Amino acid sequence: MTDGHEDEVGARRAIEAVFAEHRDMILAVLIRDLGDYDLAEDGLQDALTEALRSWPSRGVPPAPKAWVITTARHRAIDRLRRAAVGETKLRQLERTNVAHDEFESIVTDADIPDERLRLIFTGCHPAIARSDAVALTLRTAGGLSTREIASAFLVKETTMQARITRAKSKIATAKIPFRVPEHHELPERLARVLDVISLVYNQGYTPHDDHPLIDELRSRAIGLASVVAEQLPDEPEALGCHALLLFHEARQPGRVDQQGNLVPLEEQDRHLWQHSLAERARPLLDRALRHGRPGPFQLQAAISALHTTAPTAGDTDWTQIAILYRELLHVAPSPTTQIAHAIAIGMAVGPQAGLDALPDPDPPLDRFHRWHAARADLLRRLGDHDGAAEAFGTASRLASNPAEQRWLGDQADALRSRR
Amino acid sequence: MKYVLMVHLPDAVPVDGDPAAEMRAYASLKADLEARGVWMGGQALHDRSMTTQVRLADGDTLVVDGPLAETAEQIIGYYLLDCDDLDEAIGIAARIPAARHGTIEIRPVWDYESELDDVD
Repeated sequence: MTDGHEDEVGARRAIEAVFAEHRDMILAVLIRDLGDYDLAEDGLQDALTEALRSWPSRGVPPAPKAWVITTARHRAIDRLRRAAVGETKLRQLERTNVAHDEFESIVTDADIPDERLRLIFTGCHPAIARSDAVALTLRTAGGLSTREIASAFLVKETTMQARITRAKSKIATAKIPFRVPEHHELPERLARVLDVISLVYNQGYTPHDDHPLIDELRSRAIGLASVVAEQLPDEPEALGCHALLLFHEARQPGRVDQQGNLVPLEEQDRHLWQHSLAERARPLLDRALRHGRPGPFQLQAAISALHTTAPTAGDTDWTQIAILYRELLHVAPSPTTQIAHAIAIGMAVGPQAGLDALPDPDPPLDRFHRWHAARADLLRRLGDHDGAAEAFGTASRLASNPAEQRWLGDQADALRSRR
Repeated sequence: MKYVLMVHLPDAVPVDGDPAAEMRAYASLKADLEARGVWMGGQALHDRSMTTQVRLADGDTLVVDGPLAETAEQIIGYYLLDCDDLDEAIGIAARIPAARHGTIEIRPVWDYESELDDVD
């Protein structure tokens, strides 16, 4: 009696272990083999049902992951056989893949590589709209549910589901291949992948009130970046992206106080920072820089490293940071970088030099809260409190994030009360 | 997988290089596509001022002169290719000389014949 019960408990645990821990990887293998996201998910669901039925009575198979992949593949092929419209697809599968009897005999758990890289590149193909790519990549390679992704991006679940469906449909209809791009295509395609990953991280970086999922987004983004960096060790930008996210993450615990208010970098309690993450990031950045092919992610990681490793805010090497921002402006010009460059010059040289380095507020920059916030801070340091209060007020009105609005508004109020 | 590559070119294309060299580039691309077994067809089209529009209105054939929409660019030709996947089609599109000044629009062909086979 007890034996039977223990078998059942053991089987349940094994099922949970395989389906929870290895779901992404198994799904990736199936998607590659079957060339179809929905079919792969249906097959995996069938395999789960089958495992729940047979593992408790017959025991856990010796290679559980391989069993799941093989079973899911069989069930998917059964589904195609049942559906008349699946005939063409089935013929293609039979042509391009090993026959499944053969497949069953050769697969062992040890043979299964991490297929996530392939899924990431497919999901982030430039032929897929970026917001759709973010959704699909988080769903398939990041392992979040559609509901979770929708909630993290503050959109309705049906909206997020539509993005995922559109992406899958584009992959199937336009026949986007399930593979890592060839060498000559890699730089451009990798840039897209890293762009999507950093977009996911940034979505998790901006504080939202009552939003537990944003921590999850950042950790999934770091997970994706680490897959890419580990699988492509000769791509310095992949290493740079992984290092950048780790350096940022190291400083995460100091960014928001207990009331949910933003704490500016120079006032953060550096003891709260996760220095172990910075220690993991450092060798990644060093390895990247040794390739002698700098790029936007490596430069941003180097800047972040200087902030993260300064013992106090006063020790920050702003001159070096200003130089790195100038480099960054060369390789990836953007308004945000122009503003950051001006702030660094303001710190390295003086507030007037910083103001001179701020770009002109031509539209759409005149509506960008960070431009006004940077100007406000520089004016405050110059002693122009009225000008600074007004600029902080403008920045607060233009900011869309509640925590940022609050912080900027508080600065304006503090300056006005000094009068 | 079959794709149509539509070649769009802006009306105001800077004249650079040698037209004969450009023709040779198109010819050698075509020869390469044929050799690879990718080529299924393709043509260059006359200027859109040569366009004729036809519509049926209440059973009457309505014929109108001129292009469908006034845009700053037009389709100057098309390719019909049989590629392994979208990436192969993208690689070929990037080799079409007009891609330097214009845009190549890649559309997968709807393979309704094989879908009909499935229903049989």
